[in-house]
Amino acid sequence: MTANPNRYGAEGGQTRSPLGESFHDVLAAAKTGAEWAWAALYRSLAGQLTGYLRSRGAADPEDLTSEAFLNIARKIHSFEGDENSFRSWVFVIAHRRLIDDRRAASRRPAQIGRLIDPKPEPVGGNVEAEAVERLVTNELLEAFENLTEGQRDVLGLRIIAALSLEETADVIGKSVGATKALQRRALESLREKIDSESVTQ
Amino acid sequence: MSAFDDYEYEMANKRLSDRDIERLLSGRATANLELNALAPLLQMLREQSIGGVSEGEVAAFAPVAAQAARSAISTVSKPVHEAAPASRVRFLRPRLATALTLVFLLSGLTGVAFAADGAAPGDALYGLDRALERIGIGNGAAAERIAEAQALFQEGLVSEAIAHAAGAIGESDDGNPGEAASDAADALLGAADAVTSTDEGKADAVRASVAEMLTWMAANASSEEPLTGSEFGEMVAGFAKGISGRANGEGNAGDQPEETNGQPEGVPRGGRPDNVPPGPPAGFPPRP
Repeated sequence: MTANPNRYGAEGGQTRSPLGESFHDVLAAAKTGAEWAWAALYRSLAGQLTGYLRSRGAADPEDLTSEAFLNIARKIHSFEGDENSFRSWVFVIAHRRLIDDRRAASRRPAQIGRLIDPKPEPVGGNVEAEAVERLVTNELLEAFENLTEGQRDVLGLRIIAALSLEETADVIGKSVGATKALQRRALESLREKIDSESVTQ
Repeated sequence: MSAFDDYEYEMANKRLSDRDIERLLSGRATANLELNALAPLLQMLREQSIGGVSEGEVAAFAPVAAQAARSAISTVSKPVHEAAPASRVRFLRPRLATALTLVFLLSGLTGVAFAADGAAPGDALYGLDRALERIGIGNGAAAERIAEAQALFQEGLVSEAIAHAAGAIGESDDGNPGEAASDAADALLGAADAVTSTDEGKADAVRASVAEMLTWMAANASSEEPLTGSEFGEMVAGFAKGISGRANGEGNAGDQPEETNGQPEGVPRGGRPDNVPPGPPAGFPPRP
């Protein structure tokens, strides 16, 4: 097969299947150790993987992403499935590395990870409206930070990794029902925060 | 929770249909106005968390991963995670690491390792640098972390340099740095906080203390017989105390930095071990 290394996964980003129909060719080539295939896989997943790990407070998300990919490279010969299954498998490996990282972090100095950075001060425009918006947004971000670990895991995987409910349940090792309950509870908490904000505005 | 609250909660839950939740999480509008109010926040989470992947990163990582895949095929005849007993998986890990290392040495990929080695926090190749260190390629370990801390210091990021040095202390081969080192790391993080809130008048004294500490740590890390355990922890905690003190205006803070021979406040005189070579001269080489 003649493959153009730059064709695949150049967009990266948020779609669930950036490689599309080419995935099976990419996977087969990656198993044989083709560099262009690994470039495609890395482009298609590294951004979301690092984003998920960062959002979950990993002390060094880029480091964990590289480690996860090295693990994936070592094990890829045993993987069979489509692109969505592959994506789910990648996040299972990364999530396990994250858990290891948290265990190690409990033995070293704490590093505080934020889900999102607070909104910066407004620089022009409608200063008053922007200030109110910033206040509300930052309050909501605080609400995010106050979710439980499990709730944040689920929202991170659903929103950043764009995994389905079933795939998310697989990654965190819980039943679909339990995962759905965590998800619902997280959204409830955020919605309650919005309600209370709208009352106090 | 009262019966009324229970009823309210139940009604609220009923309004959150699975369909609405799925639409919200996939970035589409829902019929539920309250859930729609969350959409901008979730979009922000999506946009801020997912970063781009530079072609530099891709170019650095692809050959490493490709080689790892080729190496794994030749090393492992059956899937590692497929019903392999835990003891066998543990046995295979060092073999895989060894195989990977040999492959790197024999295949010219050391160029990639050297390119990544020395990457500082924030650099595109830093994650790869750390991953390679874990399989034994690159300088690795505390010495490199401290060199990175010195690089941050050279860039004027004093607080970050201290925090990075604290992270270096928290690293150890067995993943358990010990109580003394953990306490010292905590003290350093406290010093990093103090530095953040100090005023410009004390900055020179603080910088001098931090420079002295990093010099000592670098020298210790490269020593053939470095201080370890409680002795090391005591030295670092003393430096941390000195930095915090100067940042908070205690002692001679704001005046001349105390003339020391690498001896921080709180550490008995004569505590510097004979086997620790003197650090690099003032001005520090930016990178080893």
